[in-house]
Amino acid sequence: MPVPPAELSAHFSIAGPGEALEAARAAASSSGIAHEAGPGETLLGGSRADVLGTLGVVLSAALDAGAYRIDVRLEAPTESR
Amino acid sequence: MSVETTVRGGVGESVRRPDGIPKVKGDFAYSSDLWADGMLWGATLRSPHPRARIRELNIAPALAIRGVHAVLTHEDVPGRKVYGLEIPDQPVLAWDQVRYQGEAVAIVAADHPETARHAAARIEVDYEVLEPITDPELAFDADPLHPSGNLLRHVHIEHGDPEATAEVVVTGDYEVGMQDQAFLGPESGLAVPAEDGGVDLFVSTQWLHVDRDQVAASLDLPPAKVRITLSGVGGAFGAREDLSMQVHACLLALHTGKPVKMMYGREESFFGHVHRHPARMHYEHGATRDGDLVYVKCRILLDGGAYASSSTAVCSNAASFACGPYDVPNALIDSYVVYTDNPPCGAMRGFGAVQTCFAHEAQMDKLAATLEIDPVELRRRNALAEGGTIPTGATIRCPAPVVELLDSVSARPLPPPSTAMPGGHSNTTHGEGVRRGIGYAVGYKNVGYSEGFDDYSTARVRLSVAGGEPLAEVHTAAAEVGQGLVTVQEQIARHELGVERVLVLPADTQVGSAGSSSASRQTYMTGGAVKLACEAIREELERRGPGELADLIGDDPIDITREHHHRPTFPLDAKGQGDAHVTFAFAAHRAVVDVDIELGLVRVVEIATAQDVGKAINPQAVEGQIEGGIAQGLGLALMEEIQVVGGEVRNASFTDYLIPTVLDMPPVELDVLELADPGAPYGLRGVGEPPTISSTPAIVAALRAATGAELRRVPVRPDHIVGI
Repeated sequence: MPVPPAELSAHFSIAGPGEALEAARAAASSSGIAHEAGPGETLLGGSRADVLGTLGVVLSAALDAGAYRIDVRLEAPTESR
Repeated sequence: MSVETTVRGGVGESVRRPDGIPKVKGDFAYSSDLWADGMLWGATLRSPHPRARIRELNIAPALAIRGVHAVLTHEDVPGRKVYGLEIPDQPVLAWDQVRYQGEAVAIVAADHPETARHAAARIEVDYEVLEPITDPELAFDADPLHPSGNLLRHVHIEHGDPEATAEVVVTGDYEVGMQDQAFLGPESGLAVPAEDGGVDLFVSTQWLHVDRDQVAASLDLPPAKVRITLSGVGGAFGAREDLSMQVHACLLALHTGKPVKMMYGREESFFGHVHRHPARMHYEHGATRDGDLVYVKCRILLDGGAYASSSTAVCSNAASFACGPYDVPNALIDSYVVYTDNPPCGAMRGFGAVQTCFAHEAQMDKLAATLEIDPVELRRRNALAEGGTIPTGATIRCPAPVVELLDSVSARPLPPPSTAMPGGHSNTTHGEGVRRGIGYAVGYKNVGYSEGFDDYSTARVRLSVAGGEPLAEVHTAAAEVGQGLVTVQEQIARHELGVERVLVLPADTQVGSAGSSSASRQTYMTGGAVKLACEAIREELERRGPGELADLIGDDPIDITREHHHRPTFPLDAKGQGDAHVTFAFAAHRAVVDVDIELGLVRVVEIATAQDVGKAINPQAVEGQIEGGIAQGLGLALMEEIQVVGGEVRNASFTDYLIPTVLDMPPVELDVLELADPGAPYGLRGVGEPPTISSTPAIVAALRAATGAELRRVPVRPDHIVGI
């Protein structure tokens, strides 16, 4: 494993109509840094700039499509990595 | 205070390792031997399909079985439901789909291992079976297996003039099959729930702290509440870098409140860890008529399987070392790794460099034949040297004795004709049709982690007086996976402190990270950390004044922790340029083979090798690493391949997945060079991987010399040799 782990990861789940989930998924997928993280949950992993930039786009897309609650957790790698 | 330099068992001596005799006698306690009173046994339900949707999951039949204490699914994972070394994309337990045969779907704890396995088999899963994506070439345009598509990484390198042309051009297409690490101790461990709500995990692994962090994330616990202690490891070779049963055992232990042991059988082990990436490679070499390399162009395609594991690093390494240890003025390299529904692939000894070494060395032989130049002379003529530049633009700052290594192996006397026959002395052949071949190869690889990763190591050393004599205790989280690291730590402490009594404490997460036992880095990094801690202790002793060592320590033990960091490295840019690697290790091999060209049977008569190790901390261990690495290289050349058909593994056993035995291993003629790396502790290099890198192409080159067959793929099969 000779490359460092992602500088930042953002884990989010969206509550709302199916359209909101689809909109978020579509916005995330085009970023190239999105990964499934559980039922209805998505993880963005990459540089801080990429993750925060994509997260903004994804959240906007979800809210525009009727999302009424979005849980987001941001994590930076621990010192041991 | 002066250090007693005549103490026995220091750096440079062939100190006997403490685990050697117990392993040979069967007395060594592996993680599969762990036991706790009242413990339960875990078992895993795995997908039989390489790709399917999960319509429904019914655990009731399993729960109804007497003796079953828990049946858990993804719904019972309290924290992050995915894990992964570089990208957390692999489900702890699958929820709506499976992407490879063997993917974990549910786990069971029961009072007997057979009960647990029986209950796992009773879980009802309604799968909608889907057509798997199994051809990596087709994966680019196939339905995405993951949200970001199937291209996991592309590394593009432009070096010099990527449009360069040459007087002489040779091309070739090459393939490497899916090799398994084939460690002998299957994945196993024991999770014990703790009173503080955390868990203690005893497990065989390569990297304790990254296991801890991933387990903690999935259990939704702070890392401090997941305490990992290394248990007896039965080999690793990269296969224990990823999680296997770690989260599962901890989930079951916390759920039941009882210790839970999990131990894979041999068949399950093949599904429980990653493998070496299969590769397809197209190469074009251009040279002058005199034999000077002008350019190398290549396209490398690696099958990453269903999940990322270490794929992005393997892709990068394949690109970095695609041209081999040669002075190549111009290069155009594209290395890709893609997701498929095949078994996940990740780290394995020499990763990335193994695949491309097979191709670039075949190309060098092809070029030599075209130019009618001796293949060793062609390599010498183009050899990389210290101060040279590799295609990523980095300068070689350490000795790069490619010419010396080639001279060493080529100067050795050749073995005499043998009375032993390929296929043995039965009735396969009486010598008719047997041809001898000789082949050469040279390779190199990075030591330590690259591309900006500060993979430091931590060591705590405590010097006290016990029983009237000084005692040094060394505590690290470095995983002894069979490479002899415990002995190395002892030797360095003895050497630095002049104390004969050294105790290496069990590796655990109660001390800072040591990084992984991989990338030939552990002696370099953890050895360096132990050295630094000992040097600090020496400084403290000097501060305490002159006198006998025991008197200076007295009732005030010295306890010091130090981290060792290698020099900084940097990511590759868009054109693949950057000072990405810490340092490099080089080796050369000459193989002599006897081949029955009618039956395709092979006997490797002898391997001669030369390797620069910088400094042999333990010469006997160095020899062992080199011989073991050659055995794995021989396995890839001649027999080791996981047979995957339609995404399904056909040979998940040591009956059908063949590895070399002592009868397959030839004598190894060994020349160890000790050219110090100025940036390394004691000048040492990593030793573990180079023997695996160029031994495979040397053997195949010898087969080509004996048969005249092109042999574009490893492992070489008898029908390839016979030409049918």
